[in-house]
Amino acid sequence: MFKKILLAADGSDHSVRSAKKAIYLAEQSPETEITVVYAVDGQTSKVDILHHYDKKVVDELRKRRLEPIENLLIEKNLKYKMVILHGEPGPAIVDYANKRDFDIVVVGSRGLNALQEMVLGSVSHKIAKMAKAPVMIIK
Amino acid sequence: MFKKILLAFDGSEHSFRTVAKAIDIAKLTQDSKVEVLYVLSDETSKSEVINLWEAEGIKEDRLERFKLAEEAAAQNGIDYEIKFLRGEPEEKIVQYANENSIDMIIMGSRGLNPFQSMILGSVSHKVMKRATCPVMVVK
Repeated sequence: MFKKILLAADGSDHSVRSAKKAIYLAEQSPETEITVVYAVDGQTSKVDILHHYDKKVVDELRKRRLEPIENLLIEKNLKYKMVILHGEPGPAIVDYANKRDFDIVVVGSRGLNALQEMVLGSVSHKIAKMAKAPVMIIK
Repeated sequence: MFKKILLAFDGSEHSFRTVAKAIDIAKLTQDSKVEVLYVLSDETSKSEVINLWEAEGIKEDRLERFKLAEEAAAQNGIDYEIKFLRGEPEEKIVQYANENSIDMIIMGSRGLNPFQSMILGSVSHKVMKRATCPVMVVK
């Protein structure tokens, strides 16, 4: 069924919601592994470094962002892996997913309006279009 | 969690791949039900058909895939119901899902290239944007 699950997350509320759905899929089988990917784009990267120029602090900060999700995974005693990618979130996640063999990609939708989406581009839309695996979009 | 599943299925090749995924998802939750939605677009309904199964739009191979899908559902003990609606597919799917408190929409993607999807707009993208429940897009 869904043995290899990729969860795209950034620690935001909507990504915690997606995590809950991914966990539901994962709970059905003990062999399931969830790979949590967090893509850090140039902007976030700059802000992080400007605020905390120590590399260790930056890594720590990024890990801490994903803590709510990691806690859920630990609570449910699931096999998981945390991966931090660098680059524009959409393409970086698609690239990571397509090089591996995932049964499903779970991603949250920020719910941008039409204009925002035109300008910013929707990460979930890019992933849904470009990933080879089935993609589940969570509102 | 996914008790009421909406499967957008029209018997086309790209939508056939969604059947297996819908069965997987339906198996996760007890007493789940798959509502199979076949939206006849306005063009199809213009042919003023009396018997849906003999509609011009539903060709032999589609009918065959419907049979295969029903067999697969029966073999896996999936509770399902087929519904026909008329109108714009994306509109009807979103409306049906939102009005019937569907827990997840499963649909295929035609796999248009970027240019085609820019001009035509992809049904899956519109559904993804406007549905309030999780949407799974299967390639």
